[in-house]
Amino acid sequence: MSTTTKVYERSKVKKEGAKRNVASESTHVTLNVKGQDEEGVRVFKVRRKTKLLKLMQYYSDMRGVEWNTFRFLLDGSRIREYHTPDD
Amino acid sequence: MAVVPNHGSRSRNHNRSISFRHSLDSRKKRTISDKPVSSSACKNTTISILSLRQDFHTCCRGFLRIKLWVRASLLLKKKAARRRHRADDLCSNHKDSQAHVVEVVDDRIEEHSSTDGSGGKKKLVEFSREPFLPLKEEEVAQVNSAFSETNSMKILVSHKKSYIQIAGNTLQCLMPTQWLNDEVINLYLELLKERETRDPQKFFFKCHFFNTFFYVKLARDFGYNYQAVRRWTGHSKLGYNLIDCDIIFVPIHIGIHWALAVINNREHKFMYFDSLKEEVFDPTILDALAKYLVDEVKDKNEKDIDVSSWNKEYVTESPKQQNTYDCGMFMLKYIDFYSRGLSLQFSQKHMPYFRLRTTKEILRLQAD
Repeated sequence: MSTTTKVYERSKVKKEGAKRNVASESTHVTLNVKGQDEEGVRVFKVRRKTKLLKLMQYYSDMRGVEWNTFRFLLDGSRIREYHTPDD
Repeated sequence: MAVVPNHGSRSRNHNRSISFRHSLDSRKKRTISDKPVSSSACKNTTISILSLRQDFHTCCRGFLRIKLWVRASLLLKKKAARRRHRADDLCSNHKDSQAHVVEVVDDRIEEHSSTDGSGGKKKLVEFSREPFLPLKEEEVAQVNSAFSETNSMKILVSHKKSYIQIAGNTLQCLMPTQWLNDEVINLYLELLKERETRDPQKFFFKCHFFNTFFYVKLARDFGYNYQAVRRWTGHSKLGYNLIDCDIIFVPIHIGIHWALAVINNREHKFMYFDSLKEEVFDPTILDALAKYLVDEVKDKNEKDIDVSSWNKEYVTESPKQQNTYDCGMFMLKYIDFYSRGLSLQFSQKHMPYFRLRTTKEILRLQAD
């Protein structure tokens, strides 16, 4: 039992997404999310003031895992759920 | 009439017992105290004197006991001081015999070196006691309370700069036999960086610590891809150019194992530390890092550098783990020791201490 939980912890480490700000408009912004273990990029259109928690939950739902399994990074530093695209 | 001899015998008995006790005491007291007993006084007075005397004795004994205790404690203190002194002497001898690497951190050794007149604070030693200083009692208590079940869902630490939050259940990976988590490793690397910026005098090398995701983004997923990490090291983001660093640490996660790659810009070599494997090393890791360094310098400084002559060193004599769970801790300590400029003089037996110490440093958000 203990070994399986350990492996789970490890698989957590491997999953992480990169997010890039591509185009900026006045109220909305397009974010590209790229999972580490998938080739394609998923495009999201988000309001500038919305907390990224929503996006993270949506993305995780699409991948079928809990939202806090992923580590979201922008240029190598962590993004938290309480950040907004403006940050 | 029958009562009197009885009484007399009793008083005599008292007398005997008293004189016996008094033989232990000083003479002066005996002469004073003998008077009422020898005179055929009433029973009450003798008894009261007896009780007085007993009180006096207990007092005396108490006083003696305290005196003895004080003397013993003084002796102990002296012995401890002598022992410490001897240890210091040994240390300073050891230091003199070895002419290598890094300054002295411990105050006591510092004093000695100044009295020796053999140099200022930046004395080089092969061995420093600082990485092995024992924890204080309250620090151990703090660590233990952080490990407790009641804290498992609570967020114990949140690091503002890197936005890393560590809850109790994440921190529990620092308990013995547990596998280290990426958040703990990344936070500790941040702390090491802060230690260096806080005290640049103490560290000879300017270091850069990549986080655990760097190598994964660079090369793991779909082959080598510089574009994925191009924006990680901008001058505005770091505050310095990567190429200005003497040593660049790259933690590497291979499936279920932690290892360390080092770009040594000062000595022009790439190094690879693995706490588990003896001989088999994967050449793709250092090849990818060499390629990355060329691309990075080209992109940021618009210069071409040639790394084909740089050595690729797979360090085999590094300390090795004797079990299946300490790889992460070994990696962190490789980084810690190497960034201090110390030789890697630790072994498996230090790991429980290092786990405690790392936990303490993470809880206080300050690496020492």
